[in-house]
Amino acid sequence: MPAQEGPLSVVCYRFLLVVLPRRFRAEAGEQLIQVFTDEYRDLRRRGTRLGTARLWVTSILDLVATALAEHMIRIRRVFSGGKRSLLPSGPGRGGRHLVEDFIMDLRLAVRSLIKTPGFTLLAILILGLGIGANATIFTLANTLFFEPPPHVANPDELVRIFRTNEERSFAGSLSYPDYVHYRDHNSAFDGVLAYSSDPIALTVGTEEVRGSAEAWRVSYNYFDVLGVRPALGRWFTPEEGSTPGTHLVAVLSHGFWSRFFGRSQEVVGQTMTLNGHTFTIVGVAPQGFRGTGPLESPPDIWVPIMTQPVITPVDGDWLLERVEGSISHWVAVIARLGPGITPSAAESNLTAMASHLEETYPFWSEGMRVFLTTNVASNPSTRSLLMKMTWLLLAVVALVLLIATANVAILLLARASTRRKDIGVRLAIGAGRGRVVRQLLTESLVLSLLGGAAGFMISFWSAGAAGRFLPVNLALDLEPSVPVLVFALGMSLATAVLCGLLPAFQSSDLDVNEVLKGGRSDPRQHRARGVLVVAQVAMSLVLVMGSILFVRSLQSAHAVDLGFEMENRLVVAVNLRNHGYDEAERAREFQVRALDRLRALPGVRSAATARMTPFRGNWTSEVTPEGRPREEGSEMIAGMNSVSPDYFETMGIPLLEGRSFTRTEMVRQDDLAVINRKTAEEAWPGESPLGKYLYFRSGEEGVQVVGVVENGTYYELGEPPHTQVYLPGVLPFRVNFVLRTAGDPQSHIAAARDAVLGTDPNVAIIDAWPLERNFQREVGRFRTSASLVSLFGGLALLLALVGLYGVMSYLVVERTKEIGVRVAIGASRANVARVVLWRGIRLALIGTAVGLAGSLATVRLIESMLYGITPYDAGTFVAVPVLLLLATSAACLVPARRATRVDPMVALRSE
Amino acid sequence: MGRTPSIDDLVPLRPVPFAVLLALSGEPLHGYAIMQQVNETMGSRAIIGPGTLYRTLKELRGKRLIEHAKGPRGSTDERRQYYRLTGLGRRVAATEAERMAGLVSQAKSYRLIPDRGGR
Repeated sequence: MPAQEGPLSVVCYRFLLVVLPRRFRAEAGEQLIQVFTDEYRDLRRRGTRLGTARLWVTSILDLVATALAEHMIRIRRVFSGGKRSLLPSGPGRGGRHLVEDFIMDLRLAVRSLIKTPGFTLLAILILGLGIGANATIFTLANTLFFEPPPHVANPDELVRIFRTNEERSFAGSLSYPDYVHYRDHNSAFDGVLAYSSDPIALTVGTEEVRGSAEAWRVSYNYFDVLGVRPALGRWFTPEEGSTPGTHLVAVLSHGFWSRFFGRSQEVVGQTMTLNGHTFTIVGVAPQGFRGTGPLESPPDIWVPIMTQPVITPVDGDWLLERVEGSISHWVAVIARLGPGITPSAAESNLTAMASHLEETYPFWSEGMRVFLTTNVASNPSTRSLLMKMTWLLLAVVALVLLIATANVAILLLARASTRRKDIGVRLAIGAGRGRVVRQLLTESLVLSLLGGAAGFMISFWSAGAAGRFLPVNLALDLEPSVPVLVFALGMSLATAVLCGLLPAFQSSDLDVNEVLKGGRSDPRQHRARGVLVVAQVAMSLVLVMGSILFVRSLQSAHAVDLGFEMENRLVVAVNLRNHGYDEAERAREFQVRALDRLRALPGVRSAATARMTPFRGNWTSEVTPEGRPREEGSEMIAGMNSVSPDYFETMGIPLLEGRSFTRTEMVRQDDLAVINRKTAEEAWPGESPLGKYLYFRSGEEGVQVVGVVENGTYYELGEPPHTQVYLPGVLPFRVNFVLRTAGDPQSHIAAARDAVLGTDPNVAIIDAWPLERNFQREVGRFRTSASLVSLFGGLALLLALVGLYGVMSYLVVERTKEIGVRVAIGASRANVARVVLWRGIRLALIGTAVGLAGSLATVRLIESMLYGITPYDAGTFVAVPVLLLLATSAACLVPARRATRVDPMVALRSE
Repeated sequence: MGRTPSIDDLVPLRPVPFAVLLALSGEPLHGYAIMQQVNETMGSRAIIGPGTLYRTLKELRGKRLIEHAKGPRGSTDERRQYYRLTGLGRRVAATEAERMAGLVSQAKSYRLIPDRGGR
């Protein structure tokens, strides 16, 4: 590993070394970093977060002490008349002056800031918001992309293995048999683990308590390959991972252990029931362990993959074996590289194994390729989505901070203009200009540091809030850490320079004579302020434009006609297998009885069953329409669903032609079908499909079309119309009951559960949720960008308005005399107001023009994150500038009104 | 510089330098290993970090009590600097230890601390 890289902590530490004197740093820097890195690695290996925190505390204290001591040596050397003077000094100016000057500046700065508490608080608030926004997004980015997974040993040795095709156009899961092959036949890895992070819902019971929990199915070596040590008990053994359904054991998460067992030390060896089967608890995972990445929400319980047939009998044997005609890719695979093996060598090894599989098992593995990534946190597509979003947010908050900085710079300029006399006097009695600049910069430094502290505190609260906006289930604590503190500190320093430099130089560069004679203010200051206001307005226009585009995109996602209705629909998923319903006929009878009960519930308008619900996976089949030859190549791919008669009514899907099924047809499972418009158009263009037949590959008898319904959205938002064939009845495994309710579906969950269990108390309810949740997951990514960007866009607009208001107010105060003269020689109040307003509006106009140009240049960058509108949305491009102009004019109104109230007598007397 | 310092000029040692000498009384060690041992010896009284460690090592090297050394066989990292005691360093550490032992036995004879050996 090159010396420049390494974990973020090391990078931060390297950065912190700037506090040391340069010579000492050159001499010792690398060794300090080496020791720090050693300790950091060591702590990581032992996997304690607390340890890392302590490391940081001691390291920072140590650095401060070392820096002080080393600087003192140098300073002392200067005073004792050492051979070399290490500080730049003129005659009679030793290093002591530099330090003393700084302390004096500090004291002056604090004193003058205290004297103007309103200004100080406003500046701190503005900077705090700007830096806080940055610290928040940085916390997010840090947690998502840099923090190593807790408790996992040497995470840099881990790789993730994906299935793909020749073109590498996707990154998919593997099948379990393939995983076993790679695990047992590779020559590149120290260990290969598999897991399914798709949680299964469990009903958990002990003698005392019942409850629900989520479990992951993992290979027996899951924890061992990750190098995690149990908090209690042990992990799984190879025997527990070798035969299906024989060893019912479980490992608990620390949280679940605390909630359910009150951290009882005797939990190991105890039993509990999971979905009605008795499992033995063998171990407890350490606190904070959450697998390999922050994107998967960690489960309550881990069970060996081999318990699959017991725990979710709904799914078939094909999950664990190669079953003829079936294939399921469902496990995520992570491997630990063997000593000295590079990722590319490991990939070649995998590729060789994959082609062996392809030869041996053509049905399951034809065209299959594998690849690996060294990033184990998530799969590449999720990661790139999040990366994109994070970059966008970082850019947005950087703009917000720039606006805040411009704002404070304006405030400082205005403040300096009221202190011109003071500064003029200091210059007149012999202070160097550098000295004055330093003093003014010290002031902005103090402000920025306080702002940074405020921002850091804001991010404590806001990082958690921001995490909830993410489109992924980020169930982890987002806490600002030391890197965030360092980041906020760096931001403060940069801000201090950015917002302090211009005012400091400008206000110290003045004609002493002119000032002392009480001359007029400097026109260059107005120009500087004008430029800052224009920049602010322009940047906030870009941000507001972006946020409006995101909001409109979210709106259009909501407004899109899905082809069905999702409000007030409740889904109850039930598992019938192994509950006496293996026989199809009986299962359908159960459904009919359950539907009757559900329909009878108060507040339930209608009820139906369906195998598939929208946005939740797909089921397709090859069908040949009547009229085409029944041979290879003439089939069409149809999306499938099997439903009860009232499904279309319950989902609000319009029936276009013909009829739906009857109940008798459903129970008998007659060979009938309802198809959607797209299928009809594709199968029999220009003809009525009613009465025609569709043939499946298996079975000679076709199904006869009895009805046509409108197209709908089945798999993802914005998809092109897909074919869909509805068959009567439901297969006897997993059933989704769909209810149309009056009012909030959430409030009907309990009653619906009772109704299903009342039909047969032995069936297992897998889950119950409002149908809208399917959709929410789908639009989640649009919502995230819309809400976060709007939040920051609003903040930016607010800051820009405050800035403009501040500038205009100062302008009026400064020009009181001029206005007084104007009024005295006969200007009307309206005239005065117009002059002031026009000054402000002119700035806003220029800013808007610049901002529009900037928006045109940048909106293309967010094109891929928008849904349903183009980034050059005309309405937005007109409305936002107009609104912004109105808002900026409003901000100028108050100062303008104040100008009209200037009493010429008072104004002229005041000088 | 030129004068060879006598042992008496060098003792008593401050606690951290003494702990470093103790840590190096065995085989040569690199920075982090020294730091770990020192922190172990010092217990919770003081935790030293990389900066303090480096300054101490520099001071001890300036006094010729320790010197650079080659790492043990099999250590691969070129950048890691190893240290070991010089002959002088060993004598100074021993002198300091004896001085401390003397103090301890005095403390015992004044019954400041229980005399465990005599029980």
